[in-house]
Amino acid sequence: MIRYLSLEFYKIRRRGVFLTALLLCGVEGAWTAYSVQSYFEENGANLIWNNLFTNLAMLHGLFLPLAIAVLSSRICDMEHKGDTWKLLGTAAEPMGKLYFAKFLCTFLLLTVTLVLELAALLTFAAWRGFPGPIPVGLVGKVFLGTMLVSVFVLALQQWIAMAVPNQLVALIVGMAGSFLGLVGALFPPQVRAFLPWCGYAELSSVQAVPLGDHEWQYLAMDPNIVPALLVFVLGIIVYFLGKRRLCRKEF
Amino acid sequence: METIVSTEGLSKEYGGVFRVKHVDLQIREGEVYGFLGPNGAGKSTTMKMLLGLVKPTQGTVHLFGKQMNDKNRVEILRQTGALIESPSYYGHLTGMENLRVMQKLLDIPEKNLREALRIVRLENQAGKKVSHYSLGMKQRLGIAMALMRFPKLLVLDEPTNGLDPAGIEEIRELIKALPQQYGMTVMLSSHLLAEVDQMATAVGIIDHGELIFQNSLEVLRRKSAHYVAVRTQDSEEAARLLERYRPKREAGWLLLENLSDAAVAQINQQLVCSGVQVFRIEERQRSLEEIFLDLTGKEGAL
Repeated sequence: MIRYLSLEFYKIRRRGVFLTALLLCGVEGAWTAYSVQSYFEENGANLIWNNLFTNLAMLHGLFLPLAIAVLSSRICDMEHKGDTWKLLGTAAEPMGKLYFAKFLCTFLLLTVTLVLELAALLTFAAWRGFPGPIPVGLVGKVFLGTMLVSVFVLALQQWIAMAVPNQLVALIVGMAGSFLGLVGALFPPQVRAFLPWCGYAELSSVQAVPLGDHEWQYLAMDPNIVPALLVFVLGIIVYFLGKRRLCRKEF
Repeated sequence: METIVSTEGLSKEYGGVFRVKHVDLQIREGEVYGFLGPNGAGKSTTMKMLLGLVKPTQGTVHLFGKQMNDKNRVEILRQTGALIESPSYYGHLTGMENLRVMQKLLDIPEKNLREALRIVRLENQAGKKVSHYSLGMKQRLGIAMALMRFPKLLVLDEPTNGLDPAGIEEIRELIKALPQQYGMTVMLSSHLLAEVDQMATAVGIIDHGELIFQNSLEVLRRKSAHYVAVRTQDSEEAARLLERYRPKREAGWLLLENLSDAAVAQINQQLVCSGVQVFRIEERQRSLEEIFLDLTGKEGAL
């Protein structure tokens, strides 16, 4: 497997794939920092960590489906452009392993990008003087939940990017996912349950409790990781469906 | 000689239409097998079925004595190299990097890369991005990728496509030498019958999905009977006089088949005695293109 994975990284040289992902997540991180900064100036340190990671979770819903669509598209499109699946097929390598290698390559790039973004935000928090130690539990749950939901998004995007040579289709699906991820929090829970992209918003760690007319109280809460787990299971199913499709494809 | 490739009743259906029908191929070890056919005859589809890129609707494929199936396909194809339809490549990588992709995938020694580049004469272009290659250079790269493993069976779909005459000559000589030099069996498809004539030791002709001829080139040539061509000063009168021989007319010549020496002498005497001047009497044999035209009803070179 290491051989196939290193081959994927070798193939993406000079494509600027990592930089593209970094750019998108950089914008996301900057936006998160700006939102938190505004909150900090108005409300001080009250629930500041929760605010940071709730903002991040919300913006993940907007940015990550698009970032993953772009990443996956760049990595899969080279096979369409050069008609190389035929070559790889005649090279007598199991197509399933090649498919997994692509998935893993994209997943690792995404993970590194998100880790760098997280590190940048924690550095920002330290610089702004956020109180107390870093809430490792909160950070861990949000990060884990993000990766679990991203498995579904990546599985779907890779399936589309490999099945349809025109990458515009994959990008449109990515944009639709971004839209759903952003507005998903506005849908009632019964609707959100059927929209896996809303899994990012479910990682919110702030609960708004209505007190009366136009008055709200914000309470800290533990992010709910169960929806992310369910989306992850769906992602595994989507992955195997996509892999089966490729393995049965005729060239 | 061991049979390297054999198919039985190989067929492929698309949308209710059989593109390949009951093809029984036999390719022996050390042959250069020319697979001929007009456009859309089913050559590429057949080759893809041999390599497992396309699943047959019916029939079986045996490579190296083993029946191809999902379980052993990978193991069997380790002994093959192929260039199917257009060359495959990563345009953003250099020629050498493209070969390294295959090297990493197949765990091929470094010296094979150098040798493959040398054989196809791409050593000086190996550092250029493939997106900057000409069509001929891309074709050579595709051949190099197929050759890299120095496989037992090499399958080439129109290997001289896009090459200039010098390049065609080089590839032709290369293919001819592969069985002796590297112990390879080669299957190649081509539309250029003159190419196949100069390279192949065995020929299969496919038309409308059916294999209509399969044997050595010698047998194919022997299939064509010799015929006599006569040119006279008055071909109309000559044709009338020789009506019982059922002559065909072509560009001022009368073509007569199945004539003994005695019959030729008799024809000559008849024409001269009837006052028709005889300019030429020639014995001819059909070219490979004419045989192909007879078999398929199409032009031999496209």
